[in-house]
Amino acid sequence: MDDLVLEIQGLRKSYKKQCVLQHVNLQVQHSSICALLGPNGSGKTTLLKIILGLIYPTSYILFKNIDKEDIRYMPQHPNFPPNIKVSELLSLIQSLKKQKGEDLEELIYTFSVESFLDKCIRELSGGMKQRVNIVQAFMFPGYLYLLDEPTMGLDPHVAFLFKNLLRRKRDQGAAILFTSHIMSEVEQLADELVLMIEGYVYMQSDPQTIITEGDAMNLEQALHHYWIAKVD
Amino acid sequence: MNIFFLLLGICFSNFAYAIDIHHLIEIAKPFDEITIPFGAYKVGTILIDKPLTIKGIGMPILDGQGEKNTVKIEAPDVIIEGFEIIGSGYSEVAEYAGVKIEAGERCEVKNNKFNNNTYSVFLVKSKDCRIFNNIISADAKYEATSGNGVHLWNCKGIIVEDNVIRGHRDGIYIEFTTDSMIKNNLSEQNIRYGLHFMYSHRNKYVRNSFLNNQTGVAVMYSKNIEMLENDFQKSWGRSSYGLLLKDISDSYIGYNSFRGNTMGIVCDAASRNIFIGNSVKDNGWALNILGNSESNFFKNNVFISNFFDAMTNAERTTNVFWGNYWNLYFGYDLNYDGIGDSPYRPMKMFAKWVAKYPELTVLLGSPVVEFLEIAEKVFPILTPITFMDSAPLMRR
Amino acid sequence: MKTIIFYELKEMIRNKWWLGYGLSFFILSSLIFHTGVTESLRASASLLNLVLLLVPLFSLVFGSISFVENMPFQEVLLAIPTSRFSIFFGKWLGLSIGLSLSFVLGMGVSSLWYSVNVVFLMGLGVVLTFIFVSISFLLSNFLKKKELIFGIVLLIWLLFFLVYDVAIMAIVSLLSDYPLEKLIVLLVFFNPIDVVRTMVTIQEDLSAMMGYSGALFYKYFGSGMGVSLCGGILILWILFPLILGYWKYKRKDL
Repeated sequence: MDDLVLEIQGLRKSYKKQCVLQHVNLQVQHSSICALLGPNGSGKTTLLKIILGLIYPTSYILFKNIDKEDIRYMPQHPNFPPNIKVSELLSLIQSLKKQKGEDLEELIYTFSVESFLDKCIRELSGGMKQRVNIVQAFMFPGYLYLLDEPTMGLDPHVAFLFKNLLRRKRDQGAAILFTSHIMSEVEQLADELVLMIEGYVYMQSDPQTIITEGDAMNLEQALHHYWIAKVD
Repeated sequence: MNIFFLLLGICFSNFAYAIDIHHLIEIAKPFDEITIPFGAYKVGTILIDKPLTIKGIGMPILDGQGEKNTVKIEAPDVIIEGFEIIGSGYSEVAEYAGVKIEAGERCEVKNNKFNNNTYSVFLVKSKDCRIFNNIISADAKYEATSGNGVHLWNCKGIIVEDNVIRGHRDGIYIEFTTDSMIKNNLSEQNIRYGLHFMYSHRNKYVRNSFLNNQTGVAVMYSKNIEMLENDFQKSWGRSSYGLLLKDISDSYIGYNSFRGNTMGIVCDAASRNIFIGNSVKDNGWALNILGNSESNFFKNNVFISNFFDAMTNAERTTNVFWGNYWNLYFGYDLNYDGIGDSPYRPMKMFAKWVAKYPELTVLLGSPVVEFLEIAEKVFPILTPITFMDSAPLMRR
Repeated sequence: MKTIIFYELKEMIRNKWWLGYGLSFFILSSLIFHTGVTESLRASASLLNLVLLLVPLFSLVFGSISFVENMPFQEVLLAIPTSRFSIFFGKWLGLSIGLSLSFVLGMGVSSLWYSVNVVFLMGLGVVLTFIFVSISFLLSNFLKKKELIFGIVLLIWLLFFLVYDVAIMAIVSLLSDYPLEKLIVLLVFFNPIDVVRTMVTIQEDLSAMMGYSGALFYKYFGSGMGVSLCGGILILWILFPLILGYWKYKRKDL
């Protein structure tokens, strides 16, 4: 139990007409990278937002072994305000957090953000914005990282650096929960895989097991097998 | 004789109190001229009962000490000139004035200053007198306890000219007085009317300015008045008008200017009057013609940026408008004769509603009112048809 | 919260619309000062209408755009974590102050230029800004769809600026046989634009045009008490939508 950062049981979220999350059970452990997989509309983002407290669930049992202050979030489309500079954005976040970003300078260096620190957000490309997004999420140390499609729009080199960052965070003891579409990425990174379909957690296991059990070459193929089996 | 008194005056000029004006008048012969040097004279009441010319040098002060009339004239051909006349008494039964003339003829009150008198100049049953170039001021607070600047009662042929009158009840009050001329006066800040006529026929007032009075001029129960080239400004308040015509007939109102009054001209039972060439600008209402007013004629007047051009409480009218300029008129002139092809109806629907529900005044600036005016243009049926100018001018 | 206010201000001042807003006030009020002689009654009425037209319109549109467009960014702020309270009220204060600043600068410079005293009107304009930013926040939180929000915002503006007065006139013309004074006074309270119009009417002494028959109006609005009553109602008009909007925002899934 002490290893758990987060445990969710029987989570339901329904809007007036449709049920987004039917019945979700999920456990996230320290020092692990957990991937949330699933087709569009399967409730991944909603799940992340519920953990953050942005969305109020209909019914749930939620254990958080950590303080709200220790959760970091990287949204999918952050839509930073267009008219302020990157540096101003970062200092805004620091002053709201009331502490200095410990890893700020290192991150700026690693993800080569300094070249556009003095530019306004609206002048940035999608990849640049995503790099800013990474910096804002990782500048303070945290125990639980919630990342919504974090590698979207990153060039391969930056994506590589980013994955290294994630591994290092894991090795330092943090838990990382991220959503993704890219199977190879999940296969490389994840210690744990959660497959969500239509508001259910369909499967929670580690990728290697899935591949072996599915008698497949890789994760993609294994999931394909699962998918066909489910439809049948 | 004249020289003697002058010398006397100069000799005693340093001891002004020593001059006994009463005594001087007593010993003077008719048509003498008495000259009084500068000084402050506490005189109580000076009674002048023979024709005399009394002149002040350096504006000596005649102080009535709040007793009765400061100067009382009961003789013809008296001239009072060059004094500062103050402190007439107040009474609830009698009207005390700075200068009161009873049954005077050819008297003149000129170049004087009047301060803090209940009434300043008061003429009773007098004829052919002249009140000229005086500066008259008072500090009236309540109508009931104050008097008028120049008050004419039962007089004939009086000329009131070039005076400045302020702070009285009425600046100039005229009752039962005929054939008078009021000219070039400035009457301002009086708590009731700048000029007030009662039962006074065949009078004329020309080129006067009426500023910041509660109501500029009230002409009541009179006939054959000529009102020319006067300036009626800033009579603004809950019951303030530029010109109030009450029971006035056969009078001529020409080339006056009405500016910034709550109501420019109010006609109450006023009939057969002619309004020509007046300029009516920036008033709340330009005209308020009550239903009891008949057969008035308006021509060549100019109406600019008034909130409302006209109002009435009647359903139909015998008043005629012809060839006036209305800045709210937007008709065409296809034959270029300077006259709009469609008639202008100065009374708007909103004006009618405001008259009935004054609270609607809060919507005065509202765009809805503008929209209503546009709607009226499209559907003229909406406009009350009471008033109509069949030949509105295209240009001023 | 201070941080949020300053950030909103900074963000707003760099927006080209902020500049446009102030400039349009500068140009239009200069035009009015220039053409209409300042003493003219109609000129002061046009100036009032300019304020009553532009301030609510801009505040509503700007407020709702800013709230809705920045919704995804609020996730970042909330995850830091920041409380919903400081985001909501910080944003409200920042936006209102920013818009007021632009308005006051635009109109203030032009009034100094022509040396006209419009401090009272500018004060009311600032209050209107706060009111309509509140209303825009209320709408943004109760309505889900973006397109719907802008539609409703424009409708609300039209309602307060135009339709409401039309309704008052319609009521008066339809019910003209009944005593309506109290109703009219009451109706005025339910439209902040009309409350401001009334305050200016009193201050500019246009209410003198009601004559003695407007006695009831004076009873409610005339004295110093009337001004404070109007002021109180305007404050209610700020607080009510704001608090209701926050109530919803707090319970909302973002």
